[in-house]
Amino acid sequence: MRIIISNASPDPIYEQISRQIKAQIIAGELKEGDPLPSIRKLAQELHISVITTKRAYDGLESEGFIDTVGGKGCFVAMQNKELLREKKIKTVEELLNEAVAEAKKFGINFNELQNMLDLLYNSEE
Amino acid sequence: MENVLELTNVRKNYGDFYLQDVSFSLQEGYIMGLIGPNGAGKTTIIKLIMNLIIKNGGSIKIFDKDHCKDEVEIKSRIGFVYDNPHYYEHLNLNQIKKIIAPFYKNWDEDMFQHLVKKFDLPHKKIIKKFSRGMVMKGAIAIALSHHADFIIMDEPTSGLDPIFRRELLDLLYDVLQNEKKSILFSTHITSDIERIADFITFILDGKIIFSSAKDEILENYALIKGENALLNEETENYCIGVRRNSFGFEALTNNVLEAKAVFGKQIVTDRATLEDIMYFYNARRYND
Amino acid sequence: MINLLRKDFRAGALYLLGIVLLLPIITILTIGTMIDVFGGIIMSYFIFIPAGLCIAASFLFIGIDSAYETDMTYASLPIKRSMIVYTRYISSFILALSSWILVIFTCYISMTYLNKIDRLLEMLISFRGFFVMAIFLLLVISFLQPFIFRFGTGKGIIAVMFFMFCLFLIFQIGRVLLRAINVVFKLDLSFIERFIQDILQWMFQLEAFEVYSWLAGIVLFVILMSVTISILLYNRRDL
Repeated sequence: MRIIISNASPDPIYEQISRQIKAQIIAGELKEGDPLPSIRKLAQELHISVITTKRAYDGLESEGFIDTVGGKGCFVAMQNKELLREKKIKTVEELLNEAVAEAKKFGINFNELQNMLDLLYNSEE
Repeated sequence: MENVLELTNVRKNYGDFYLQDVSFSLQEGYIMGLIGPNGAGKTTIIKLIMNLIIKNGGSIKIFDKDHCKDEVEIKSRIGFVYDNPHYYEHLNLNQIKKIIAPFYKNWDEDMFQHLVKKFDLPHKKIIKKFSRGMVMKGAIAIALSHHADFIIMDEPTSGLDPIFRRELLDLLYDVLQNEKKSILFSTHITSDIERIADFITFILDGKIIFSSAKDEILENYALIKGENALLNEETENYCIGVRRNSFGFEALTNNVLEAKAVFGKQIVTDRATLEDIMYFYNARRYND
Repeated sequence: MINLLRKDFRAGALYLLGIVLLLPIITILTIGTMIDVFGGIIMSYFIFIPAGLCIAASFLFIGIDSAYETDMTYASLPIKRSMIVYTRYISSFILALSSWILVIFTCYISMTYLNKIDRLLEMLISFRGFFVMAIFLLLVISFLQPFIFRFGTGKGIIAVMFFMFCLFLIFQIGRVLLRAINVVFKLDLSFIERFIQDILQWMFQLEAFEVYSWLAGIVLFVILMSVTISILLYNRRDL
């Protein structure tokens, strides 16, 4: 598991953690049943406070990404294949949304955008 | 979740200094930073908790027990470090340990030796020849060597180099791996505690300004900077403390959205550190 | 309690050694000087030098604690303040009596081997003499302790001296008042003074075992009062 925190980022630390763990789960780098470090261990490793890591984990748990097993710790939750695919789709959707917004701002029209997508998708084989 | 420490309306008169209606609590398993400028009342609060000085009113509970009635039982579970540890200066660390250790049922000699070695402290040198840093390290070693459930430290890092301050934080993280252990750490060097603290209590002039989760504080407070022209009697009310220079002003707000609404888009907002918060509250004190 | 007593001896070992060496020397010098210069021991002075030293010695550990300001450290340990008070009394009594025994031993040596003979020294070495002196030491220490607990050693000594001065003034004023009342109202209240003198004389004529028990009882009572007051004062003291 990789977590890199940036102090300069405008995002609060707990969000940075949640996001990175989420991404790794979605990408399949963290698999179902994989154990996560305890909130205290994580706080120690990252040199942040326990409440921050707790908040990150609480968020992940409420979104169904992780489970807390009393007395044993936190584990990556069983991901419903459908839901997982949906989450993956959502992630890409969000990124595309950003691209669309930027394109509109810069005055790039739909055709140009489509061409760009074509090039990018097909160039990396 | 039990509160390891609970202060309610604690009062203390000290001649020309008053501690007024101090109330805050710390949940078990967390670390709280008690911050404030010198003379604000941090040491007084810690001494009151340890019953070294007698309170004039209010109640203090530790491990859910009254700190006076069950004093002995409570203190056997507390590891304390004062900003100026007083030991017999003509004795060495070993001798001092031999004096103090028997008072604790849970004294862990292995732990003590491990810490002494880790801190690189000499066994046979007398305390008089110790540097201030070494004395503090000795005090910390003693405090952490009897499986205390609650560690109380009063300015343990002032006068110490940044490297040791980091080492101390590492030690505290180790302590906190056990969710039954709690730490209260008073300091005016806020950078020490900025990352590790779960809760922050800020005291100024004998009054508690706030006591809440550190994350919340750092999210709600921000620095706003802008042209001096933007400041007037009305807008200043939305700031906590203002600092003007010839190029613009800097102020603290505890409600970023409100500040943005009041000042408009011409201001720059920036993260406020605990030090900023302390500074501006203190500045407000002088401007009032 | 044992720990507290042990810590005193651990912390003050070297100083104790100093006393063990110094006290006999000073005692011998005092005896020698008095006998050679004054022709005999003058009790009122002997009270001050060896006895006074014993009292000072009894506060050795308290003095050490005060010098290094370890009060705070001990008050933070899991012990009751009342326990600290008890052990201080015990250690100061032990120190005072042991030092006095050392003094007596020195007197004995002076008389037997150094040929400094004196009737008063003989009295001191007797059981009766030791008993009276022990009572005296315990009383003085019991009197001083509450001041020390309330004010610390430095201010405590000053407080004691101030208190003694006030007491002295009260006595003198009392005496003058009695005389005045006697003259003005033609009331003979001198019986009060005579009564006090009678008690003093009675005290100096210790004979029976009964009297010993009375004195022991009084001293115990005084010690009890002193300890109670000290505990009350120390519990309320800001360290």
